[in-house]
Amino acid sequence: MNDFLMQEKQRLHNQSEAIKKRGTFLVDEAIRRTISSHAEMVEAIKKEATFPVDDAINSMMFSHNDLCQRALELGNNWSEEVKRLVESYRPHEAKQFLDAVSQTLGPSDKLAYWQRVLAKTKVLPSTPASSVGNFANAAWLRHHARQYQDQWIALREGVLLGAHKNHRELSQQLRDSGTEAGAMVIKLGG
Amino acid sequence: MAYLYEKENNHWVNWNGGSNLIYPFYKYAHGETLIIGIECHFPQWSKIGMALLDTGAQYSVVGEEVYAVLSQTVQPTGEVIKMSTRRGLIKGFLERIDIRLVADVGEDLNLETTFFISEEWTGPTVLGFSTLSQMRMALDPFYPNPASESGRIFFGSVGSN
Repeated sequence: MNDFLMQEKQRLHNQSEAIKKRGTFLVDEAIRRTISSHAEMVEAIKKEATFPVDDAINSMMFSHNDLCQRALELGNNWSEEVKRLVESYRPHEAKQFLDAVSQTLGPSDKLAYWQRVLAKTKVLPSTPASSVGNFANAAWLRHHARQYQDQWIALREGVLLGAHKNHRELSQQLRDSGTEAGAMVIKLGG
Repeated sequence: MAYLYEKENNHWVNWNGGSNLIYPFYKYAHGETLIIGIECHFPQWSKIGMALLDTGAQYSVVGEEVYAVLSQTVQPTGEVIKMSTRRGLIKGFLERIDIRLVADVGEDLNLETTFFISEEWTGPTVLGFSTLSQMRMALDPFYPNPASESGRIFFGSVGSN
């Protein structure tokens, strides 16, 4: 337990050094305390702060134990924390929090969903090169794109298969003419 | 040649699995320019289109043409989240989707990745860092020579070429 507290003390000290650089933030007292939970730590830091520290607290990296404690505190509302992290472009931290939720609250459909969508991109077996007529398509775009401003167009091997302002209408045209397969459909601007 | 090479145990091996043209400064609608546009295929819906390569974007986003077909088959199972975009705050959800980075030399690169899906997004498909961070890629804007009007992207899976 002493080792754990020493590690926590060192970790908090490291964090405080970073925070101190941002202003007159007094965290030494908080470090000297025995802090047992995420909530207690947040309160201790807030009490000592001379300016709003929510951003500073939010930007800290918490240990797995902190995150487990946080998951327990949030209970059924844990996914709000995941949403908050995802919406603030912190998917890595969201994944760490999911690990804590998995350990403390157990499996659920919601947890499976978040684990699935926050998983790393998976490389699937490769397939033979399938691009056809790209040079011709690029040349067509260079020479004709301006004539079709704000329209959807379908190209195959440098041949215009159709154009329409409405994507759905163009798709229908291509289906009706049997030319949908292999067509590159893109929207053009000016 | 359209391949890059690296030296491994005194042997030269392919660095990339495939490569293709890039579509530099492709003018998308709404006055938006795709600085680097690349050919991208959504096999599940047989859609071939163009995607904006954007290492500065955290998440990948499906373009409106993909959304048009996807919304007919994919029911949102996830929670609604809000994303801040250059067009303001939009609502949507995250889902896993297979994509194919199409090559004209070598092999296509197939990925299962997470996209942000939003009815409110009227921009192009964006390949963001969450997708790009798990593959290798290199850009040569002057390939095959400085007079070239296209340029090339070289891509592959990490360590398996």
